[in-house]
Amino acid sequence: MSKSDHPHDLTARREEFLRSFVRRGVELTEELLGENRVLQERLMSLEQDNARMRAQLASDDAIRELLTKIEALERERQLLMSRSTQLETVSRQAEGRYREIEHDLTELASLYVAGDQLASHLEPRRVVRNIRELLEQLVGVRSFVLYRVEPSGARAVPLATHGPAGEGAPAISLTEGGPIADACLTGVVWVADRIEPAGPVGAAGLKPIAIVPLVAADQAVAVIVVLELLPHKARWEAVDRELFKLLSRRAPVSLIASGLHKSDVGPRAALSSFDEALQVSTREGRG
Amino acid sequence: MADYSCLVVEDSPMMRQLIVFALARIRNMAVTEADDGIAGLKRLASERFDIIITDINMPIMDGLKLVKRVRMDERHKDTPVIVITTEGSSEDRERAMALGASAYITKPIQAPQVIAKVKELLKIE
Repeated sequence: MSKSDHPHDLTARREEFLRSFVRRGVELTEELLGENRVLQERLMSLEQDNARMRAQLASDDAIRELLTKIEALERERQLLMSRSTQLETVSRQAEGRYREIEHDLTELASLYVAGDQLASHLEPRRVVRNIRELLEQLVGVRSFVLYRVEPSGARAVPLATHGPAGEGAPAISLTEGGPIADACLTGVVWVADRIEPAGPVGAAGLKPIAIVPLVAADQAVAVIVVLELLPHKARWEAVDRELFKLLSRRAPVSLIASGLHKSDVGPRAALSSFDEALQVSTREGRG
Repeated sequence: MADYSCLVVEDSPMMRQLIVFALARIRNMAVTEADDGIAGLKRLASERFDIIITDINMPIMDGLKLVKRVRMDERHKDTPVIVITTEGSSEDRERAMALGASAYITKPIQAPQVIAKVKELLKIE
């Protein structure tokens, strides 16, 4: 048995082994713990990175969503702009139409009132006043002369004048031609294309800007010679021609009726001659 | 029952009829007519109106005198008055406004002009 194989040495060597074994175990454990800490730190770092990336991703999604919304809103805006433009166009058209209707209504009202007033009176002065008002207020005439055509049809004599340009208007021969004679002959209203300023009535005669023959039973019984318009009226309106036509047809009937009517006998008595005339024409019809 | 009432003082039946036609296009507007200033004052003695439209040139009592009388009357001193003048008669227009007229319209009468002025003074939408 060698000295080293002594039981005491064996025990010592075993203890030594065990100590080194335990020491190694402790070292390994410490190493493992150290590695574990490192791994935990790495894990935490990764988790933080992960959270950060998730947040980033969420933010990108939100941006994408917002961009999509902006695009949708832009499309909606374009649509609304286009709709608004369409509506503006429709609105402008409606406004234009409204103005046209307003204009037409005003013209119709003028024609209605003129016709109504011309047919509403039998007193001669009132009829002439209505003619004057119609010309002055509805057409915008400043000066005119109302002529009566003599029964022979050869001459027109002033019946009434209105405005400065009509003062001193002479009688007119209808046998020598001229625009007034032509209008009386044809029964057609004449309106000048250009409105010239009125001058004084002199040797050169009248300078009419419109001639309105007053026609009854296909004969001119009177004629209105328009000489001047009110200063603010620079041109003719379409309704002016219609008012002249209305005057041409309605005014002579009113003038004749007012001439036939005698205010002292009253309108019913005045109609009695009509009764006789109707009987005569009925008899003639039978015969 | 009308919401608004208007007194139209105008000696020309033609002009009166035109104004009445225009006013008929304002919803619930009752119109009373008078053919001169005196007839207008008689109406004003017994009735109240929301607005008065008067011509300036009238026989018997003209529009200027009527405006003056209306403004002196406690019951009507705040009633809007529109005067009708002829184009170019700026003197009449200025006198009417100085006497207390609220607005003026010029002849020839245009319905849209009458409607717009009346609506403006009565604050009708």
